[in-house]
Amino acid sequence: MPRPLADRFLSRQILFWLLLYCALWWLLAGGGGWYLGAPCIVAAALLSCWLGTPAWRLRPAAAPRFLWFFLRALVAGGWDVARRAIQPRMPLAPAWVRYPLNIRQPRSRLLFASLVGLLPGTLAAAIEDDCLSMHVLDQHQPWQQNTAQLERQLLRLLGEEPT
Amino acid sequence: MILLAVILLLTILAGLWRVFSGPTRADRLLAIQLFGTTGAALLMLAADWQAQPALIDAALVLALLAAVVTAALVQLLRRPPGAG
Amino acid sequence: MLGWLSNAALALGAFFFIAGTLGLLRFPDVYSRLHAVTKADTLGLGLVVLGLCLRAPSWRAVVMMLLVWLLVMASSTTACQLLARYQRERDQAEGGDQDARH
Repeated sequence: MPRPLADRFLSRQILFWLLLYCALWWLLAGGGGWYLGAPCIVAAALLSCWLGTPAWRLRPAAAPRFLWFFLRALVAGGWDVARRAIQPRMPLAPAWVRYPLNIRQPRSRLLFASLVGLLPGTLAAAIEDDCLSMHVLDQHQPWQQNTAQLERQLLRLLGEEPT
Repeated sequence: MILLAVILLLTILAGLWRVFSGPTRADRLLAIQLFGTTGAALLMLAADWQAQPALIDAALVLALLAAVVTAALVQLLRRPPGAG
Repeated sequence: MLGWLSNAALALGAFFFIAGTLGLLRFPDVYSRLHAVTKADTLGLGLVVLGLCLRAPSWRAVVMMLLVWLLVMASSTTACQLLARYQRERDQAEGGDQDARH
């Protein structure tokens, strides 16, 4: 049964978008110019609802752990590549590998593929039939463990159950 | 501060060299992406250094543009020549 | 104390920018160069942002700079992914037997 139009616009979604755009306007305009901002905010929130972009459903309880893991992975990834770039003999052993994905939602997969690019030594190139094609800087690194760990953390954050 | 600014400028120079020498198109586009990152860092540094907070807004615009530019260029290049 | 921490973060950021540039100049193939630029420079920018946030005049500046960092991070990860895919398609188109490796 199709939902009535009013129901589509007057939901928790629009409240979310309104709050988000209000915060954004306050930030960008420095707390002024609301006479210009208010119509823009309402229009943007309506447009977001009309386009039907569902907001991410995050688990707040999982967020600190994910953030901690992500920042650590970011530093480890940067340090790893910096070390290889600075050492005179550049220890590289690049290879193409495939990683079977557990994440099902296409949107979450895209996010995952982007995040993989920040892990130590891995870079996603394409998603082909439930596998992620990745380039690794050093095939002797435990890239599989790192990727699997990121996937677990992301699944936990998004509240998706691994299948 | 000055040292960091010099390093960032040198990074942009290195990126320019990459744009010039290639060898592949992906290399040149990668350098463009690097300009976005380095440029944003440079602008924010200048905002602090010159006490001009408005420069942070400029950095934000640069970051937004950088997000679009590379994606658009790659899509453009993926089209076969003459199809666009 | 805060100023000292800020300087340390800026110096570390500079280090990662140098490393990223070295990688861009020295690494032998395109994909490795993509690694260098995505990871090292994103981290470098993050540290520079951290350093500047510690001496920022207002909260608004702090949030704005963090927003810049998030945007650049999103753009550089997406761009590197697209570039890797693009280059790989070209490689496969040129040498048809190359994809036997993976």
